[in-house]
Amino acid sequence: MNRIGLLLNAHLPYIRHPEYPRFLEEDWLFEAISETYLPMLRTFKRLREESVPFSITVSLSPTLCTMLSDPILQGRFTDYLKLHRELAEKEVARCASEQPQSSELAARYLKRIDLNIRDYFETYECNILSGFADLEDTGHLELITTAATHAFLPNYSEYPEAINAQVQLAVQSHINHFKKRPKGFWIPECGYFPGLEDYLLREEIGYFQLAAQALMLANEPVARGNYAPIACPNGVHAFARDFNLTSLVWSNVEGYPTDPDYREFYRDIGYDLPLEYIGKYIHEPEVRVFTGFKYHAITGKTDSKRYYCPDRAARKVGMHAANFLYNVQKKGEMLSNILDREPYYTITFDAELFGHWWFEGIDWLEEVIRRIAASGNVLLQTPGTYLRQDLDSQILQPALSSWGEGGYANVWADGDNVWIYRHVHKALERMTELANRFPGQNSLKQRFLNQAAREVLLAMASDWPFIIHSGTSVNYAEQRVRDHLANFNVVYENMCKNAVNTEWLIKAEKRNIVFSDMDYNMFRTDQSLQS
Amino acid sequence: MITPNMDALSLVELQYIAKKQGVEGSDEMDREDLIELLEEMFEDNGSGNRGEASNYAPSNQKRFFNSLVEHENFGPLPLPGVEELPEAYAQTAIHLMLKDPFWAHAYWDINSPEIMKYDQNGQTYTLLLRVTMLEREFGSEDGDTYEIQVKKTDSNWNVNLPIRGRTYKVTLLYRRDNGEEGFLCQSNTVTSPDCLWITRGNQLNSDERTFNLLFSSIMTKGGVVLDCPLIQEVVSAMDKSGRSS
Repeated sequence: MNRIGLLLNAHLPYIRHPEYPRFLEEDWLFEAISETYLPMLRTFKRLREESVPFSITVSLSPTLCTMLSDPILQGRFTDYLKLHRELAEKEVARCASEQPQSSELAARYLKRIDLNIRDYFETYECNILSGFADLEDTGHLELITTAATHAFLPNYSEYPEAINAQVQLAVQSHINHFKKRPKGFWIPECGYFPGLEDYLLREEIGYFQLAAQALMLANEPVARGNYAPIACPNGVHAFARDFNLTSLVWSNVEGYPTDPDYREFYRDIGYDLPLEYIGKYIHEPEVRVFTGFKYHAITGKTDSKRYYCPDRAARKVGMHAANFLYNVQKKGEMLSNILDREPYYTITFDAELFGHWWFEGIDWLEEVIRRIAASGNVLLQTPGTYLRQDLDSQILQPALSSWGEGGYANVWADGDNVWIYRHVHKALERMTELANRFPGQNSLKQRFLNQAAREVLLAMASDWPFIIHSGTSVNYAEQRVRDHLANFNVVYENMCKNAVNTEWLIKAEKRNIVFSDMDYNMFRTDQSLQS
Repeated sequence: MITPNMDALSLVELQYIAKKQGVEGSDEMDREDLIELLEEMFEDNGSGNRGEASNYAPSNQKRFFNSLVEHENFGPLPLPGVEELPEAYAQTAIHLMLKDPFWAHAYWDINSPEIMKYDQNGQTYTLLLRVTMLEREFGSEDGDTYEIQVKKTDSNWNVNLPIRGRTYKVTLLYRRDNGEEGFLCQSNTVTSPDCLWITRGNQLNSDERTFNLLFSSIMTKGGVVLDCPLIQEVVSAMDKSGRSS
């Protein structure tokens, strides 16, 4: 039997700007709900209704959970749905008269929006987390958490209180949203440093995932490669990613999503159609954005794109699902001669790959699940279930690693973004100083210090250096880091004078409302955390 | 990478992006010229990563941030009482961060009475980073060192770590014209990662089981090994060993 541990990481940075009537970067959340989360939940529920067995692990980040539960963002998503439904109706009419080759796809977009509206309001009553929880209750999903603000943890390894806060708050957030303690922990960007498992153990975490090279680079030979979890010296288990199987999908060179028949992501009517038609559906003042209405196939390296043909894409989905399974089985045959037990493949993706980036991705996932169920020699099994078999695990200390370019910290500490650490590290030192100097405060000072902790944690998000590294939305990311740190400094400077800036506090609490049960005391120096 | 995938874009889109990037006369330019110009602009902005491969599909670096163009009109509104971040902090301290097995990043602040005195008196001095490779045995004396001369205006530096698997620290010093040195501050230590397989290329060449066990999960179907300098060193060691046998 070939066991596959499929882990999906659903995460978006905390973006919420009630100070503006509409904010461009908030669309990231709305696109993810429309194109990934709701369609994925529909697929999983359909499979469950048809009694197709599957078991998948989904990490829902604390910032994402907070945004999905936020009444302001829920209201704004409602506006987004209404606007997109109106556009979908216009598109059905426009395609019928001007672009008949796209009529089928335009109708499909309208249908999807209608299903999203039904599911969002009627099934989930505006909070789709209940959909994930429901699937966990029936054993089809295993929900886990990740660092509170998805910080790239190796860059903070010198700050034990900060690492502890990222882990402790994440677990608390998961308990608040799902009423149970997570068994697993998605380490952001597969960013691991030796000793991270000690923080996880404190929160009773049983397992986490690793970059593909983390075990090969360990200081002792790994006995079963990446085909079985190892136990860290403290007993927490780690599952290393199978880069080989993952790259069948997630590669911009040879991955399935590059197929010429699949939908082209970058051709969108938000950019293609005249402003007088599309103006209402993009951002003011005439900022062109993706609308999600895309009618072309990848075709090749040309701007003469073919119109998308749903039938051709559907055929490719079937072929690629079959190819994936074939590769798993073939690999299993090869490994049967060299392993002393059945292999376990850890395959990890960002959830938003499916449906958003790769339009056909959710269909592919469904087809893979169906084929696995019928295969007889492949099984989807979560890490938690695998560990319950209580098989012996090699005790091994994984090596420092990440899944970023170069395998270490270069993406999150390059020439453009490394400046942030001077300030974030200083803020972390000062946060611990404040927590040590002013322990156990109540009332206003407690709120003031809690808000300082929120601000410094939000500044730690891996998303900001990643965006700066990538070169788009740079100004926004830089501004976010600067604002959170400058906000933190308001608290630090006032507390040093034994004062509270109440006006700032009230406004900051309204804006950055994440982690409602924050306790700044978690930043106090804890001797047990010192290495 | 989320910068525009030029090859996939229509002329209208390219003209729009060029206009947003401040290119005058973009309406008159043809597609090829626009692609060339925009690619140069994005490279100059340090937003590379495009490589030769198609950007149609997500790589493991892509995330959700998909705006084609920079959106500069809005940002979070500042809250009352908030001031700009300082350029530096009133302290004398140096911090070292590991970037990969061969490089660390050092950043520092200098707020030293001696330095201020020299500056006020117009006395010349140079600032040095002394990179020390600690001996392997715990508690033993410091090992080899090398120095990097930095400018007074510098406040950070990428520090080379010449040998894998060793522990490093960086000391910030000043040196006066007469050779007299003064200590300013010392960093935390970082240990550069190593890989035991680098010295076992021969074993990997001769032991098919171990080779398959290790490499079958870190190579694509097309034979591309994942991007990691230590893994590349293992591959080089195998090549070298294969050639010599």
